[in-house]
Amino acid sequence: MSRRLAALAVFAGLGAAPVVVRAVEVVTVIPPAGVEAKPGAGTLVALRVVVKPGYHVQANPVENPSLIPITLKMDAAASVSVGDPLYPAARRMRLPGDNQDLVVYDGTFAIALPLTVEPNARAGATVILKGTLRYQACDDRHCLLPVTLPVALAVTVGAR
Amino acid sequence: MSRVPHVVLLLFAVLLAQPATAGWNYRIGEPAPEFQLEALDGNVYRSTDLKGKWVVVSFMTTWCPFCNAAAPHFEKLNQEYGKRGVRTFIVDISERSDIVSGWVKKQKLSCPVLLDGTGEVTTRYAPPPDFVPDLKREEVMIASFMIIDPEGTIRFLALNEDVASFDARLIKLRARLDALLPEP
Repeated sequence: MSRRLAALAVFAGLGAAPVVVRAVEVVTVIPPAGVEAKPGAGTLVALRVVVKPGYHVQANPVENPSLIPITLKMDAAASVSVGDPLYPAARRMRLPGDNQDLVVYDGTFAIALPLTVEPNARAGATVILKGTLRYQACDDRHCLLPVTLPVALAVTVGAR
Repeated sequence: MSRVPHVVLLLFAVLLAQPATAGWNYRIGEPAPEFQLEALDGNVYRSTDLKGKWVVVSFMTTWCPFCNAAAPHFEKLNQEYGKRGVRTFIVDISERSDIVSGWVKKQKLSCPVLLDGTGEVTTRYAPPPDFVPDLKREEVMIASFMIIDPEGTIRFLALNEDVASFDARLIKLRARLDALLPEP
């Protein structure tokens, strides 16, 4: 499959997962284009997450377990397995009058996803990994309901 | 120019002079919408049963950082003002009762926690869409605090209109209660 077709497949895949429609789109996920992984090898893929200015999302892990940490869940697909995502360091902040910090992300950050391609995977094949990104966002005044975004990532099996 | 246009101009001037936080007055003076909700304790609470009492209601969720920060202070307020006859409630917005139950135990909350499973009651208490129009009405109400007087009229609604509005210690809510309640 060509890269253009792979990109189209990624966009088509976006419709498959449940989508929470809301007026304020706080988070955008930008999967990397042109991901290639060799059979039998592991690779680390960085998904860029952009948070709308003025907002923040709860980091992963959270310090207060009642809060909802941003969580990337990607399903394995034929010939590609997925490891636990790696989340960046968080920024600490404190609400007025609170005695405990919050750990949050804002701006643009990356979640790293370990991938492993099976040794017998066919070189040139493109696999679409599907999953979700769940997050809960706030600004300085309001907290928004938790949102689950669909995420799709195209991985091309490279030559051995 | 006749006097009527002057009055109109004056009204416009007054409206334009309002700060961006004029929403502080949303719903104040309106009758509190009626409700009937089941609480975690299994009892059904009706707004009509609260007539004749001062009532403080907070709309919360277990995952909201503002709510988690305010919850211990809300419990203190419940303890202190309960002695002065104030009835205190939390309305939980659209969450499963087992999740709410665990949070209430963790926060050591003793006031009734009413379960608004669909968010419909919360939405009825929300300000009109011109207040933060991008948000769903139940979102606007998350971590809000309301005082309802014995006649069933809303006397205070804290909606976090600006960055400085929120304080987990509920200073504004306490000050308003102190101003409204009869001397102990």
